[in-house]
Amino acid sequence: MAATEVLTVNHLQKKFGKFTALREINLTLHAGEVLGFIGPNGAGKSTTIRTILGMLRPTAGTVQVFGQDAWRDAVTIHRRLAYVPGDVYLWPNFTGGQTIDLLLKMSGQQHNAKTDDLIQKFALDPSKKNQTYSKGNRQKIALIAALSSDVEVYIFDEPTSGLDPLNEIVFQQEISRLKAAGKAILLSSHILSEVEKTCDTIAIIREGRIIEAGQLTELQHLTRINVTVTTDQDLTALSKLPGVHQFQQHQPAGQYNFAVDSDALQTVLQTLAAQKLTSIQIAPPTLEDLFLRYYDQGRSAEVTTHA
Amino acid sequence: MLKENFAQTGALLKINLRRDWVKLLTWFLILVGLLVGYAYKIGTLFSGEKAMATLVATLRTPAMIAIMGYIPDQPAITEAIIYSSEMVVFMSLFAGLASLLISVGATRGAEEEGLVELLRAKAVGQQAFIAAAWLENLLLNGLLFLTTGVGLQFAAMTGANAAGNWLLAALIAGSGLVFGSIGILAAQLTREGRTATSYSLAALGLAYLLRMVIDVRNHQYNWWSLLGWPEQAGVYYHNNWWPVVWQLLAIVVVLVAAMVLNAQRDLNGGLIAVRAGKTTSRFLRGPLTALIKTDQRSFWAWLIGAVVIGMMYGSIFNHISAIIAANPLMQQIVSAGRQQQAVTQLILNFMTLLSVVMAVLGTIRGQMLANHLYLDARQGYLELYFARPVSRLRVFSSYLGWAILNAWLVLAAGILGLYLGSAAVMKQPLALKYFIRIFSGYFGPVAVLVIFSALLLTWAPRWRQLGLVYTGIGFGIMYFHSLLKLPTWVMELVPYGWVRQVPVKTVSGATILSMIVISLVGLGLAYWGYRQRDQNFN
Ligand SMILES: Nc1ncnc2c1ncn2[C@@H]1O[C@H](COP(=O)(O)OP(=O)(O)OP(=O)(O)O)[C@@H](O)[C@H]1O
Ligand SMILES: [Mg+2]
Repeated sequence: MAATEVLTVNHLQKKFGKFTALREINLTLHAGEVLGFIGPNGAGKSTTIRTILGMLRPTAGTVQVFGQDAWRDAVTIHRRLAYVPGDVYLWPNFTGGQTIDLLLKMSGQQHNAKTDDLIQKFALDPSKKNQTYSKGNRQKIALIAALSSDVEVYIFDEPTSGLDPLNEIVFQQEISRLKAAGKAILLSSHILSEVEKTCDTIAIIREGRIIEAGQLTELQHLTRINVTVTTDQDLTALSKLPGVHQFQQHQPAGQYNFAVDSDALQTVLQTLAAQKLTSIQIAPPTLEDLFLRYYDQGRSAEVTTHA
Repeated sequence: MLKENFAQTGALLKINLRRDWVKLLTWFLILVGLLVGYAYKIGTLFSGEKAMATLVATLRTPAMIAIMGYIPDQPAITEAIIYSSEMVVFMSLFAGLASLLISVGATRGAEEEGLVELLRAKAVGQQAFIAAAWLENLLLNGLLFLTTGVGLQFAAMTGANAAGNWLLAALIAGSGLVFGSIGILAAQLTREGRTATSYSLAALGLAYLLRMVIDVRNHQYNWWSLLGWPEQAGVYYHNNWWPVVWQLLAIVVVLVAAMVLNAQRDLNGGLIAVRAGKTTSRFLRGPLTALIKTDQRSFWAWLIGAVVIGMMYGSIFNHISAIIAANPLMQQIVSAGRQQQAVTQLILNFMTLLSVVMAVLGTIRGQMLANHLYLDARQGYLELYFARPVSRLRVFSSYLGWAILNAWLVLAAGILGLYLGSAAVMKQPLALKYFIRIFSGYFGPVAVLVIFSALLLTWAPRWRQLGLVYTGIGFGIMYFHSLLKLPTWVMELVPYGWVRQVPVKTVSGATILSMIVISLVGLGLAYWGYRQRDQNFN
């Protein structure tokens, strides 16, 4: 990769007393890259992010941002970084507008035209007191402060969990804008369509371990492809082939539905070519399939057959 | 309908007890320990006619009446009567404090944690939280009543009688319930638990001060104060049960008011709706200004409160001098010219105790602010700082600087009130220099205690409340050392003891210097601990 590395996490481990929240985390993020960080509840996403922000001290391993130590050089690093936490807690009795300005000032930034633009786009009423805002509106305040700062790295921890679909679109547009401007973005999320739309690379975390990381396109090879065929011939023999799963036959219309491991697709298609088909549909794997597969590991043995 | 309102009270009570049992047990042990322990000890502490006579003479001075309460004039003073006059006001105050803290925690505290919302959505009645909080109070005070009654029976002080023993136990438990109910009421009035605590503490403090001012002038009228009621009972000599009836009535009135308010307000809301405000602020620019703005209301409340408390204490100074001047013995011993001097000396002696009160007020304010470094981190406010180029040092010094500054401001405000109050009532007001002496003596110990809290916070956050406990112990030691005949070294266990002669004497430069050194070292250590820690104080 030509782009410079802005974030490097190496063998990160974090314990809270006896409890190990992070076992083995390795991550890299380059300028101009959008990294999606996904994983089930309690997997350690927020903990990893807080460690990157120098709020938590690593038990072992190193975390470097811009080549500097995340814990020791937090202040210098944070001049070039913006963050939106998953749960936004704001000082009571400040208005939203005051809070945005305060957050910007503390980042060494100014209230600018972009800020006003974002307030308008997100349709936020900045004159209300913080304690009277709804969850989504509190999140918007943190988002507006972060998105209107001009920095190199943006970190979002489930930024849209409280936003309605319209505001979510605004957020995605903003991400595209930042990406186009060559910024690095780390985005933790449970909303897969969002990650799929915006991210170049993803990292999947489970029980404190990064279990899969890479380009979204690369990872799609690891997963299964959904095939739907309609034919008047009998295809039950297909279910015996290696790499074919969830074989279903819908009687009346002669429709078959199954999933194929991507490396077995070749053989399956060759077998199919010998048959007379009325129609065939091949759907690329969605992130959802990928996600479910990793999340479910250990829960259902059936999926683990794929080596 | 009625039943629905209180649905699930029992289940809630169980949850409350599981959460609060350590708090409840600690308060219970402290209260019973003091009440029963002192009853057992009083005979040995003041054995012999002479010791008794000096004690009674001390207790009859206006300064002591102001602090402990009224002691009857009748000739036959017994151990039991001394005990009741010393204990009844103070233990009522303590029982009230314990109960109101528990009430606010069980009502507003739970609501702030979102617990109420979670449970109300289940089949929990609207008034069930109030009922459960009140029952928790009833449990604490009921046990207090029984244990104290039985304990006093066994202690068998001379001059005690069964009616008096049980009456005293009832009065103290009754005060606990009254202020516990007031705590529940306050929790309906405001949105934040902190404010509810402040309101109910203000009610408690006002009752105590009102009683003080009335007792010193004319104790007949002290039924104007909730804490004067226990005195009206005349435990062991009149054994008048009417005050207990008044207490019961007060509890009913306060509770009904709380339930009416609760029925009218929204969940998570107070009675006063929050208004919109300006969208910009020139003032806000970082952690310190944000802290100052959020703290604004407490800031003024503490300052004004301290001035008022000081003024109330100051306003009784003329009675002290008048009574001394009228004392025939005094007139015989001391020549007219020296009388003024003797009066001043006596008042200064009284002021050594009052200085501790002001210092404790300042310390508590400072320690509570220092604790915000922890609380705000847990609340998630600080996460927004630390994601920005804001250093640990900046946040630490903002919080601690503001805490120490406020501790000093409250101390100064209390002293100012004392000065203003005394100057208003005395024919020959005390010189300002004595008041300045109090400040220059006590600013050190106050800072040391606030920093002690900071050290606990950054090295052992689990034990952070010990700072306040230490202050409380310090107060007890300093306030009662003469009555309990504590040796000097015990007093020196708390920072207040290092300057105990203030304002009779000035504090030495060496003492001030050593306190400054202790403070600086403490601050350094606290910062070092803070620097090592995860920001959310795991
Ligand atoms: N301060 C703490 N003390 C102890 N354990 C903690 C602490 N913070 C987090 N944990 C634990 O660490 C694990 C990881 O938590 P984390 O908040 O990072 O999860 P997450 O992936 O962000 O989950 P979610 O999707 O629900 O936000 C959880 O099991 C959590 O209980
Ligand atoms: Mg999280």
